[in-house]
Amino acid sequence: MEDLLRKLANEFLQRPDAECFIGYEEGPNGSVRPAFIRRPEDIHRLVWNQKCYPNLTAYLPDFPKQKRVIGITVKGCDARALRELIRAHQVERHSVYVVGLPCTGLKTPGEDRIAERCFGCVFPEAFQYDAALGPMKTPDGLARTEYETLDNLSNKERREFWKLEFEKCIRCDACRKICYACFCPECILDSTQPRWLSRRQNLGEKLFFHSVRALHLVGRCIGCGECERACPAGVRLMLLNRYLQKQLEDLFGYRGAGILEDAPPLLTFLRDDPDPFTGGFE
Amino acid sequence: MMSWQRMDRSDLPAAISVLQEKWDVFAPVKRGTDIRIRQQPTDGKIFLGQTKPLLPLKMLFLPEVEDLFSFTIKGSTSDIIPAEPLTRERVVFGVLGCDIAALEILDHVFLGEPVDGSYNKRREQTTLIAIACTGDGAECFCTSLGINPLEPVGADVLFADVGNGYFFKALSQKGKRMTETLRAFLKKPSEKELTDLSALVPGTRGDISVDRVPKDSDRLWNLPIWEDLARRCLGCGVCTVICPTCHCFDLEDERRGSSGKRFRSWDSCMNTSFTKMASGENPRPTKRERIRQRFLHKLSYYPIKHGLVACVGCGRCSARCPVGIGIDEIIVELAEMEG
Repeated sequence: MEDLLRKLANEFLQRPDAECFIGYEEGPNGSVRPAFIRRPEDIHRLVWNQKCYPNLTAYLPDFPKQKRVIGITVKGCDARALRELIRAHQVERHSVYVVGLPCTGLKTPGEDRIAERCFGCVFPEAFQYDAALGPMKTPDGLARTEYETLDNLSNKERREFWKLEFEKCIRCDACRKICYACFCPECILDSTQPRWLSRRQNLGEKLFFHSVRALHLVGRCIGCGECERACPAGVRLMLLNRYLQKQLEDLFGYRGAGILEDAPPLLTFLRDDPDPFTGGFE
Repeated sequence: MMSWQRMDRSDLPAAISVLQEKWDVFAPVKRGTDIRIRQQPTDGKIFLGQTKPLLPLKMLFLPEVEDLFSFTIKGSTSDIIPAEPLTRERVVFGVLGCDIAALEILDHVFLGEPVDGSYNKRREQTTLIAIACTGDGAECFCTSLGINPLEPVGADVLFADVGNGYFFKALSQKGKRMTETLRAFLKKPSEKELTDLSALVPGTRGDISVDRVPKDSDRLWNLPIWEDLARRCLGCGVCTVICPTCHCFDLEDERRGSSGKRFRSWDSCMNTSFTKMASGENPRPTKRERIRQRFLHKLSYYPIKHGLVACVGCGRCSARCPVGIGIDEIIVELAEMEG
């Protein structure tokens, strides 16, 4: 499969309008990391395996909008991110050459079992790929959408749980910077005038940081789990992201970003909104 | 010459209680997979091993956030009350050679003129108990930086976890005071144990050619490597937050009405706002300039100013970078430029 990947990358780089090809390569200590291939002689670096965690579409808004085309490899989940980026006018469809990676589920880092993030793999086929290394479909056994939740905890227990989780946060910003959906040129969390978020490392600030992050991602999170992987402190960010996604599904029937063409519910206004806004307009 | 003394493993909690009568005691604590240096006693298990705590030892000397003073403005004058950096002397258990070596790098900055009062006080009033570490973690390359992780320079007491005992050796006057406090728990080790202690050898990853990196920043300034790294770098700050030698900070006033506090907090050269000026101008406008700053500060500017490289080879940044940027790899690449 890697041979086909390199062949496609090579063909792409021969195009006169090709800027670069974004894929994966071997990183330090047996890891895999993003690779930016510009010259055909470097295509041998490209790999595809069950350690290809990064969602490479997060890099696309970094490239200036221009006529030149970026080649990129995407897993099914990443393809949904790409669809959402296109819908949000962050990427133009004609400026990317998209190679689908037929993912069978990533491995939990350092272990020989499928990563939790891969369960509930939805609609890898939802994207119009330019090429693919194989059929893009939900792998057998990964369709389950039963996740660990905190539903059976009382409010008090839940508060204690999140207190301990967020206390671990070291405010490094990795969760925010790795997220494909965090593409605002200026983030409210960086604003100094006014300063919404202090540099104090107390629980209140950490809670505020993570609440803002999670709420801004409602309906735009594709569940790729990159924030949780990037977190050096092991904060269980996906528990929060999935909980919010579940609320959208229950309230609006919204299945997640990048599946249908619809904009996420919190970015949409409908006169027949299921919430009657009691006391609001008729 | 001070020598090894032995303690039964089961005596450790009692020994820590004795230390607490004189000192605030800190130690790495493991909760799940998360290891942090925390004040004792705490829930969680003291972790005396070679896995590095997520946040390095610097956090006890240059805290993540620290109040410097509080103020009350009265007309055209103001009352300023300095904050007290430390109320009791401290002992830190189970620190690693890389993290201690990093303090020397911070010392040049904070103990040079003008001396940073709170940093100085914390340094003077802290006793460091180092673990005799073999420095052979997957990400470790401290021996390339001339560090002997088995007996780090700057430690006050050396601690080893060998066989079925704990072993202590005082290395300084401060350390001697600590081992004397513990003398009820300490006895002479057996010949066999002394042989085992001398059989510890440091890891072999001493091949990262730091000395061959050109220090002259003019030669490094326009290399294509910065652009390549910037493309991959996310621009988060995990590398700087967990780096034991990164020491940039920010100052901020918190004011409500006529009174408030000034505090300092860790800052990161990877932040866009790090060099952003009031006018909106930013002399390091892209990730390329920011990542170049991070590596040249460690490998060029700091060495030119203070005579040593500002990296201790702990490998935390390489291990934790979500996109696989490794300082060891960059050092090798820059050294190879020299041919």
